[in-house]
Amino acid sequence: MNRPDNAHLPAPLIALAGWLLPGLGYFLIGEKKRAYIAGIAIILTFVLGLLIGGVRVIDVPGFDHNNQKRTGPRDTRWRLSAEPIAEVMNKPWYIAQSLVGPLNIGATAWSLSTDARQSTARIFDIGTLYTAVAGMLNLLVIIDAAYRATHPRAISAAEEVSA
Amino acid sequence: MIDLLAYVPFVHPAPLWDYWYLLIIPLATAVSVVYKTIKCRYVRQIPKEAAILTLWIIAAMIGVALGVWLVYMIFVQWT
Repeated sequence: MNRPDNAHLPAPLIALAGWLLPGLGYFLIGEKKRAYIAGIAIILTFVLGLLIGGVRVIDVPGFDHNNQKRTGPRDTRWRLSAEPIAEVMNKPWYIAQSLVGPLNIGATAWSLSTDARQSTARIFDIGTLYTAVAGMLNLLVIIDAAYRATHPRAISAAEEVSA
Repeated sequence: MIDLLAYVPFVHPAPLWDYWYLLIIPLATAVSVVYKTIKCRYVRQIPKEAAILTLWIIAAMIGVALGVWLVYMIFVQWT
C-alpha cells in the first residue's frame, strides 16, 4: 500500500489541490498510484463527454443557446447578476461540471467563444452526463483524499478490519 | 459520410447517433475505476474489482432496460 508521507498537509489544501487537478489531493498525501488512476479516469471521462457532445455540452448559466447573455423579459439586466441562484438552478448540471476544476473553466471559455451550435437530444444529454459525472467523481476523490489526510490512522485501522 | 467529413472533434457532436447505447460502457468503467480507487485497500486490487463492478453495472442497466420494456409492452402494447 502507498503510505501517506505528507499527511501533515491541511485537509482544505488537499481538497483545493484535488479541485485544481483531479487526483492531486491523493498525490500530495503520498498515494501516487491512486492519484494517477483517479486523475486519469476523471479527466478522460470529462474529455470524452466533450468529444461525444461537443464543447457546447458546457451549458453556461447566464447565456442562451446562441451564447448571448440572457436578460429578463422586462429587465435589461443580465440574469446571472440579477437572479444568480435562479439562473444557476436552471442549469444545475453546470455545478457538477464545475467540480472538475480549471479544466471546466477552460471548457467554459471555449464553449462561450465557439460559433458551433449545441448538439441536440440524446448526444447532448450523454455528453452532459459524462462531464457532470466526471465532476461528481472528482468530488468523491476530493472528499476521500481530504479524509485520508486528516485520518491516516483511522483509514489504516478500518482497512485492517475489512481486510 | 457527409456527417463524417464535416465532423470537427470537440466542436461538433460525435456521429454516434446509431451507437449511443454503447456509451454506457466507458461511463460505467470510469465510475467503477474511481469508486474502487477510493474503496480498495491495495492499488493492485483495483483492476479486477473495477472490472467486476463494471460488468455488474452494465448487467443491472440491461436488467432495468428489459424491465421497463416489459412494463411498456404489457401496459401499452399488449393491452
